[in-house]
Amino acid sequence: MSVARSTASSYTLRSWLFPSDPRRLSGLYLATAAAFAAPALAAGLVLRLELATPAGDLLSAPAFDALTGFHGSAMLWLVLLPAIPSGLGYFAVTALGGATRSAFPKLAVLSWYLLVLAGLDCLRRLVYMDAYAQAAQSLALLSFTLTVFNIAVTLGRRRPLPPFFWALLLTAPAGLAAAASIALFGSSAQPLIVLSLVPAFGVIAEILEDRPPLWLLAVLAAAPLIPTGSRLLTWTAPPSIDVLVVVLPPLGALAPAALLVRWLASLCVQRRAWTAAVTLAGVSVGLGACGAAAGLLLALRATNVHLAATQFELAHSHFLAGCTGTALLAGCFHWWSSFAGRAAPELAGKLSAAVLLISWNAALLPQFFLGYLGMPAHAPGYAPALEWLNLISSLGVLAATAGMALAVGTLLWSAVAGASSLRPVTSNLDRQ
Amino acid sequence: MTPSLRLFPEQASALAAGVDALALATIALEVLFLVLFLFGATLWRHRAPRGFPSSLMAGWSLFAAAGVIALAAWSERISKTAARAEPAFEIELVAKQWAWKIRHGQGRREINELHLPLGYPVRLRLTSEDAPHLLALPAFRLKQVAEPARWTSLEFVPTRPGEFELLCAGRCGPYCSKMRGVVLVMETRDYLAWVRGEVPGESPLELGKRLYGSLQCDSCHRPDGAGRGPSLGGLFGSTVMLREGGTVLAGDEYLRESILNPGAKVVAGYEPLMPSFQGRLSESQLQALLAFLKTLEGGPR
Repeated sequence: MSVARSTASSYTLRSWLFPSDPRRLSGLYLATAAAFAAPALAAGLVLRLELATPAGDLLSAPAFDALTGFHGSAMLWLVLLPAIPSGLGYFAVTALGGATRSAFPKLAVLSWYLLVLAGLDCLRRLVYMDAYAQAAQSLALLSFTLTVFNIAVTLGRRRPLPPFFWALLLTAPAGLAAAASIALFGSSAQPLIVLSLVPAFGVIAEILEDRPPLWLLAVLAAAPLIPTGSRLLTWTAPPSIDVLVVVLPPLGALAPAALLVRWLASLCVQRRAWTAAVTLAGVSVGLGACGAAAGLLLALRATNVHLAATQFELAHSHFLAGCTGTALLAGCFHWWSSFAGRAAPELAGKLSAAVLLISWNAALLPQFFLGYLGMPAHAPGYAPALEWLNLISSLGVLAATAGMALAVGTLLWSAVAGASSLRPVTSNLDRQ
Repeated sequence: MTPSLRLFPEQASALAAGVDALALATIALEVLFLVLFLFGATLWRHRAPRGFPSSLMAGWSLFAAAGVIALAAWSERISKTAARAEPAFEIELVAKQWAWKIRHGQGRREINELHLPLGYPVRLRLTSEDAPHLLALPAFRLKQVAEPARWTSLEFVPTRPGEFELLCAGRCGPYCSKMRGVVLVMETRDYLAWVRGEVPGESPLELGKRLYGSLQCDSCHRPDGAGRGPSLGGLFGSTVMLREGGTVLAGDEYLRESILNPGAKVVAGYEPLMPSFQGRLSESQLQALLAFLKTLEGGPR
């Protein structure tokens, strides 16, 4: 019995404004993510267009700064963090948990409204050219934590517990702690990209039918706290504990590496059907591995001094963002037939996976060199000697945007006109 | 113009070689560990068709952790060795939206240009007048914050003469990208001369002319006599009427006194407005300035 049949019952206004059906909620969250991703990705494209040539001629310096802030906060707070736990999560409670509603339906609705408010704050600040969206940060992080908590509790009733459940359960305390550290110490929100990796890894584990050791997921969920933790230590601890400050960040950088290497190896040596979902998950793992490899250079103090706040750091965080983003697409393809009641566009999915793999590397590998050459992360102009690398990077971003549009566009099209599919809703792990 | 391609920055400090070696070694080690895991996975393939045993994960993680700790130790050694030498020159950098104001040991100032001596340890002391800034010196592989109400410092040895990039990487505000400048590493002899305000190969007369311009003498001592101070044209050797009555012969002694202690003998018809240049000019600079003053032709006096 497909969820598409069993739950899509009511189309009243009330059912849209205060949905209790997890599938409806899931759709709302995915639509919200797409609605905010579109202007945020467009902003990113305009920024890269400005950087295609050395002169800062397309945008004024304040406009460049404001667009940078909008792109970063909208992508992190409205797309990368919430889309997987909520957009895929509320659907997963039915797909994996067999539940017809989440544990706290009102909390689910509340957290969606919080997310929309956060989005409006981001847009308002774009209008006023104010780069920093603090209210959006707090609202989105609160919404994220509520969602993760809600879904973890719902999935927790199922035996055996799916890896996606563990990923979400471990994300909840890390999200709260990260929110506290941002509020208390004004620490940078950038480590939160690592937080968005944990639910993404849950999705990848589901797609690759893997049960990774829990301690690896736990270490990963704790990794975003290491920057704040080591900062606390440098302030309060005696110099003898300095060794922790030196050693903890590189060990934190290792946390995602172990899982990513595990999945890379699994994709290399184990036979499996390369569906669009598996292909996209493979691309996600590859992008994540590049990001994690760069993360180690950023975690070592001597190289960190040289590379912090440069294009190198930007490339590192965008490889991780690419990992989360493709995991989200992979999850959509994986669960699409039971979510939309239609077959996922397999060929378009595989094609977009290939485009994303090539274009994201074309966009970000030059930025590693640019960062090593000293180009700062946020500057509208640069020296003419850096033009080739920047041009390649801009073309890569253009192709990547096309790749994402291909995946999302064909998914939407298939929901309207695709072949009907009555594939039963199960976890792959059940079939082992 | 065809776009040009550059992949690696120059190494302008002893630290740079260390940082580059660490970066390359880290990447090599990462590739090695990926290959090691793939090898292990192939061995385990037939035993575990789905997923890999915990022992492989734990074993690999322990090895990788050991490698990472070794890299961290090496990284610390690189940073510490570079900062060990006792600085021979101290230079202050004050960041202000949107420029770097720089002051050298003997008082010489410059903006967005940082002259440094080759081969000697220098210490940059940084602070900010407004927002937090982040000084980046990519060719030296160095960065340091410049924050209001606090001094931070950066110690290193420039090891290569030439011009290198200096910039703010801190996103200090909308025009942060304007805070760019250049580091000029010069032979120590040339640096010392530069700090004293000398230009290599410059004659005393040329130096005097440059000082006359840079000290803006002629903004008051206007050649047409309409300034707040008397015109200096044809002054040397003439007889000057004084404010308190009496006259004085404008020779070497009078000119020198008027620069170092201007209030002592003020020219009739003028106010004692001129600031003293005592301590602001070295003896050689003073002599050069006097030599130039003697060459000024007579104007309306």
